[in-house]
Amino acid sequence: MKKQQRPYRAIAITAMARRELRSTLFNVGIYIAIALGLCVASFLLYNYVGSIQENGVLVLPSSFTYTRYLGGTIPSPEPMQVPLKWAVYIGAIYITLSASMAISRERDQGTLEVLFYGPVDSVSFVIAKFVEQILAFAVILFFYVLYFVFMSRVSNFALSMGFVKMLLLSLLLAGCMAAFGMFLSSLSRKVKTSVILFLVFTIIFISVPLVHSFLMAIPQDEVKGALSIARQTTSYLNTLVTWVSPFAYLDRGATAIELGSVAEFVKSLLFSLVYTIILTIGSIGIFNRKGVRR
Amino acid sequence: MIKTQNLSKEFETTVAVRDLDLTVEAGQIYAFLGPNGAGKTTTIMMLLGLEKPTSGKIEIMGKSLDTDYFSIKRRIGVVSENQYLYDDMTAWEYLNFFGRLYEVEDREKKIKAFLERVKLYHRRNERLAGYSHGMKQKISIARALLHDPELLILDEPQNGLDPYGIQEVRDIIKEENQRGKTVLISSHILSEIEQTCNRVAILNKGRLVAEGPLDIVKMKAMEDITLIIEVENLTDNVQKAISAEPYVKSVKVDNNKLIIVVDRAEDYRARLSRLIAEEGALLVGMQSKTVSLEEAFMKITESNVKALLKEGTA
Amino acid sequence: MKKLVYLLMILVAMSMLIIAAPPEKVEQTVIKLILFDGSQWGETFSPKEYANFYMLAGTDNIIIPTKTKVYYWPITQEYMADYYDQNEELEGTLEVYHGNKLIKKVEKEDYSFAYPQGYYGGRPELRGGEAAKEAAVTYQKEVEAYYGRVMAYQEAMDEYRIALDKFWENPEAYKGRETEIPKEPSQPDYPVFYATEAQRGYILNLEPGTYTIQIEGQPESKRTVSVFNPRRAGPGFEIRPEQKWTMPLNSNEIKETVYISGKQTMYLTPYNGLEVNMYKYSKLQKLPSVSSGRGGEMVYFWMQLDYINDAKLQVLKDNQLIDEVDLKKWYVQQTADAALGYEIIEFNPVELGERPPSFEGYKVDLDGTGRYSFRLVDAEGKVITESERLVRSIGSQSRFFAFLLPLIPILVGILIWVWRSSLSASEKGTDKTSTPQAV
Repeated sequence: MKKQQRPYRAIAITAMARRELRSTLFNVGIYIAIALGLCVASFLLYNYVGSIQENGVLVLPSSFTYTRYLGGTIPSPEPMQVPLKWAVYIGAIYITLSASMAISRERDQGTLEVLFYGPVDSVSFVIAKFVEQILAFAVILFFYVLYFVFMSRVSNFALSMGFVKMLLLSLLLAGCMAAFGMFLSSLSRKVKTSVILFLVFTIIFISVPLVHSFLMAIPQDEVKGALSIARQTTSYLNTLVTWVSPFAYLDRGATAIELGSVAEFVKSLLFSLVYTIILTIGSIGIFNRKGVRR
Repeated sequence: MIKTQNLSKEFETTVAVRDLDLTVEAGQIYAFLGPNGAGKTTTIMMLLGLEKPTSGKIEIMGKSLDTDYFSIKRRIGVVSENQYLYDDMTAWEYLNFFGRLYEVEDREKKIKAFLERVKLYHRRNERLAGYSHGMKQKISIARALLHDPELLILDEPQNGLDPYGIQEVRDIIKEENQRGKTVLISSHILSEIEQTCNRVAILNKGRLVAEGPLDIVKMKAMEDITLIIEVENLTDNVQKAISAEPYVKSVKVDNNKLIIVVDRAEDYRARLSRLIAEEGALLVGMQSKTVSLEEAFMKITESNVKALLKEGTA
Repeated sequence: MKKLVYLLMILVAMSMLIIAAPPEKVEQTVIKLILFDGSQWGETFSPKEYANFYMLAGTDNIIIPTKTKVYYWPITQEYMADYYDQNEELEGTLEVYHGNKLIKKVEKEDYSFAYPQGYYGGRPELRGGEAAKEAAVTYQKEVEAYYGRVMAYQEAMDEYRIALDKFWENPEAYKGRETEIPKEPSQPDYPVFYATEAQRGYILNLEPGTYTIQIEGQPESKRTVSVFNPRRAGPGFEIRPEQKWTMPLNSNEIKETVYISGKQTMYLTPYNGLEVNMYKYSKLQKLPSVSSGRGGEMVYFWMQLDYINDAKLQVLKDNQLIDEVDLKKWYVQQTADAALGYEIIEFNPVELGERPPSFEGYKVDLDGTGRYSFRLVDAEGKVITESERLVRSIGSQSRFFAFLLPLIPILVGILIWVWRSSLSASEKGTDKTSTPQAV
């Protein structure tokens, strides 16, 4: 291939993503996030082991099912799947936070300008940042997989296809979370603003479904006046949140795994991809409008 | 190497650059001067594609950034006045990253050579956070040169450097120019510009107010020319005859030297030589008094401000 | 942010006010529903606010359109029907539509629930029409026969007491005539068969699908019926660990793994199970509740039906058959000497007299080494589908490693941090020509 025909953008993406990954790996933040994720996973596994040692027997499915128990139903998760899911949540939150600072930090520090003196454009820059987040998440997953494989051998808890599906889904979730974080980052010039945006949106994404389910518990006949307006508004907001919030995409996929529905699982993967692509394009657009200078 | 046509940049309330026509030929060390807020950095940013021009055209190496963004960028090296480095990286890591970005061949060898050239090789494995201002600037220069660019754009490269640092940067610029690189340099240290550049453009309030070879620009900066003529047998007649000439504005005598101020319309040196001989005196020597670039710069920018003020009141 | 908090507080306060208001009873036509849930019939109703109800396909269910008083009870967030205040059953023919097509007309008839193996034993049966009346009559006859037996018992007791008094007057006289010593008569057996009184309602049995029903010419009784099938069916197990026999765990499907901790004895009781949709099934059980089935639209769960008692259990170790166990009855005997305070012994009616068995199941002893599984086989030795379960024994070091492993990334992080921090220290004085490390 002639030098003129080299994919310059790909070279830039590779170099920048590599630099970013090094920077992430040379920072303690990622290791704290991994440790936190493993702590949660260990806590859950510890409880399973404790329950088996105490009761002699524990029945755990190889995929998520519901079991009738004392007249009600309780979820009976596969032993490795739920700890992985929670560990993935923590890893994904770290990725979102990291992504939400990715662009604004470079702009804030001025290093963005220096990058753009060279063969770097907005597309290569945003994609490099995105790729780095995915790679960082892959590193997190790598630690998780080591942990779970080791724990599986030590504890004899089974690793199933559900676990593998969860791993695949979590990579796409990381895509959603990274794209969302990057989008927030592209909106702001300062790291502080990015972090505030991340916190505000996280609170909104968690609180709207809660408020919505609370208001929906009130019967239709009793809903009048302001309450009716509030209920309608939160209903619209909730619908919006289920499409805007990256957390909703993991939930959608996790539910599909839990239900063992292949169609829902594939659908959730597609939705995650579309969400990621839309937000990444949005980030590039906003980045171009804001410019590279401080 | 660089060509702009009617280049303008307007911000919401101000016009940073107006109808700028600039041509930098290959192999030149081209100085880009102007007071603060003149539009120098904005112009450089437009040249680099970091600011979008409101109107006008830019060509670098005969191509436009709109069509050949990556290939042009890979042939430019830039040093800015601000040292925006990745402080968590070591000098070696930093240069290695940019080496990868520009696909530098024999990367490690070149990094080593550049670090030795800026005398920082022995501190290559230290994080940049611990580097002094001068050291950071040297690393920035090494970064800009690492990929052997055809065009170097230097925005205040000697800012904050000590005299040794300034000397080192000056040497590097000259060396790189001798190796065939074109240099566009913007600086406030006019004495440095005078020592390194062969062509100058002066920008004021967004307008190009002077452009050309360094000597010509300096000449242009002067309204009158002062000639110092050393004469033997200097008599009053000689002084009177010279004073009577219409282009002579003043004549002073200092021992056997005549200090004559003439207007800039023509070169009157031959006529004056003839006149002195006709009056029976012997011309021993003649030289014209030059201004420094700094004086020229002050003169050009001041007069330009006055002209602008006049324009405004008219 | 503050505004959002205030808005939430106002919303909470307003909803509390609404909850505190006394319920208002409104007359309306509801459908009283006595629906089969897979093992028995339960009662709920369909007010106009919940005009769509759910039924299991291929099962008999009772529909009784009734005019009554309905109110909302905010504490439990459900609609209630006050049948004491008003209970006027609608008469006429029940029409069943599939789309716009009338597919069935159902007349009101008698119904009764019969319990051939007693109220506490076996599954109930729905009897309709004449059978309902017959069941009620049979039960009545059983009760009357029982009363006859009680009367005979009383008379026998009276005679016994007189004979006993006579005996005590001169016991010596019975020497050599021991067979003439009066014997206490045995108590009469309770009637086994039980049936509820015959009542009137529409018995509805439909195939899966959505239907509309109403009493002919009475549109206020119009309702939609969603009839559904279970998703899967298969044997499940009640698993009783020896040390906690009162707390059996359920294993409903083949995908499940039974985890044990080392050496373990457990008792397995197999049953037939159905997997149903949580939302539909919850609504089948309790229709007019706001919370019933919420969030369970896509969730399926297993429902335990009757016990399987005609199979054998095979136990395998590392895929090799090691044991075949019969289903037995077990009795839990309190023993002060035993480590658990009790011991589980095989039920022997001769030794234990009238005491019933504690439970029925297959006893499985596992030594906690290797990989076990168990499965049910029928009388012909064929493996019953979906009856296999894997048994895994958890490692004894699991808890230790669960503590230890999260520390490793922290350690890696600290090492990297120390290394990177050390790069801030100057390398002045080192060999300037030394070869740099590749990055």
